[in-house]
Amino acid sequence: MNGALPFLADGLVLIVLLILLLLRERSTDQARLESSEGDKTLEALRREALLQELTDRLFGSEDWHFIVKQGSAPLRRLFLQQRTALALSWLQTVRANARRLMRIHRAAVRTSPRLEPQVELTVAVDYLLFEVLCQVITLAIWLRGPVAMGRLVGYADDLSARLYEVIATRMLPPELAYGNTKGGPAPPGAPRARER
Amino acid sequence: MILPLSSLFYARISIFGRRQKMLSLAVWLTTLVLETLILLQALKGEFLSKYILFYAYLGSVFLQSFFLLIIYLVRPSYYAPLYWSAEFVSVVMGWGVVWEIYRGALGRFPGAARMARNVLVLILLMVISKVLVNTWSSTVWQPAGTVVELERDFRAVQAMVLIGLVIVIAFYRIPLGRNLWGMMLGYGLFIGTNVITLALRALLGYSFQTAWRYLQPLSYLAVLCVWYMTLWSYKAAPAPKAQLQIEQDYQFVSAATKRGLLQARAYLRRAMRP
Repeated sequence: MNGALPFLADGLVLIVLLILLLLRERSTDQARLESSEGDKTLEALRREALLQELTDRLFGSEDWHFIVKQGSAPLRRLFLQQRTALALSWLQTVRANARRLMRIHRAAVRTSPRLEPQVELTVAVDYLLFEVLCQVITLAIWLRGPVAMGRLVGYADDLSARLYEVIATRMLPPELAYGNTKGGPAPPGAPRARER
Repeated sequence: MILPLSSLFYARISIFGRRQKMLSLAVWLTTLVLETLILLQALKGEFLSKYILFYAYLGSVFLQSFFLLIIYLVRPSYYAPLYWSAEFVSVVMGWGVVWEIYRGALGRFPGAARMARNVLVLILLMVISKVLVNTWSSTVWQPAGTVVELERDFRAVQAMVLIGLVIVIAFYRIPLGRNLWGMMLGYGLFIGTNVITLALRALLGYSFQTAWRYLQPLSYLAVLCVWYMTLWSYKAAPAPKAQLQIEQDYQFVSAATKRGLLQARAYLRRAMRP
């Protein structure tokens, strides 16, 4: 049986990969996705900029202290429930933005004849680790709640800003890159990243 | 090595029930009709030359099937050995389909093509290492115990190469177009099911023979249906749109991306410390 397992796995992996790729192709219109990638990123960053204004409030402790002062246990429970849902939604947006930026990177390098497989592999591994850490943060939000996550979320915010600075400003058209546009959309957490 | 299996195979065929034989022939004839239709449509639509290696494969399978059908009906005793010979011709011609997919999908994307070449070289090195290690550890040179195992091994290598190709195509989101999509999906499903059924046949032996006799042609029939639907007319892969302003210096872009991701990860790690 042991001798047959690698072959069975080989065949199964191929079939599963093809089915997954087929499902992905059916769910996304590739051409439309590519042509509007820059616009989507801009749109996402605008949304992100708006969300950024709420981030400090969302993960800050002021609201929590206010609720605690009311002395109502059901109110505290409801507050924590709603804040957890909001925090998870915020983290999803950050991840989606990072995914979009990586997609831009891949779209840029796939036509480059000078592509270095080793470098690409490192970038892919780094991004994978980023995704894993985001999952860890998601778990931490579930376990500890958003109020205790202020510091952690601050770092995730900086991370998003870093990703934007490095990838988007070098690959997006100038009008989409915040550094080159007066009054353009700022990346999430950009001011804080510069302060450090 | 081939004879015991061949005689078993032939013995099995000779005691084939009338009903099963009819079903088997019906599937066989349907595959022949579908192959003819796909080939004729490519000729009529004048796109046979666009995917010459794929159609060469399909043409060779058609000729083999047709020839084997006559042998099966007229001289059944020759069928089994000829079947296995035809299978190995099909394995060799199948590499043409893999090359066609690679060329069609990644020809317009030199970066992704370079990545795919590296992945494929890595896969081939792994396979060669495995063969060498097996040879080194065994006292007698024995590439495969039976003809079934030999075909399974060859198909498994093709499956690994296809896995590498599919991963690169998925990772770089290469637009394929309907024809290439159909080719890859059909051939991939065919190879995948083939490797699984051949592995089970080699593992379970004769007890899997009946199931195998139906699974093989039925999976191929399903593949032909995929090809029939996706290769009905010429639909080239869409050209990449250069809508983004991209830094010309790949080294600069990739180094910046890498540095950014490393820094980002370091931030998160620091944040995770109590």
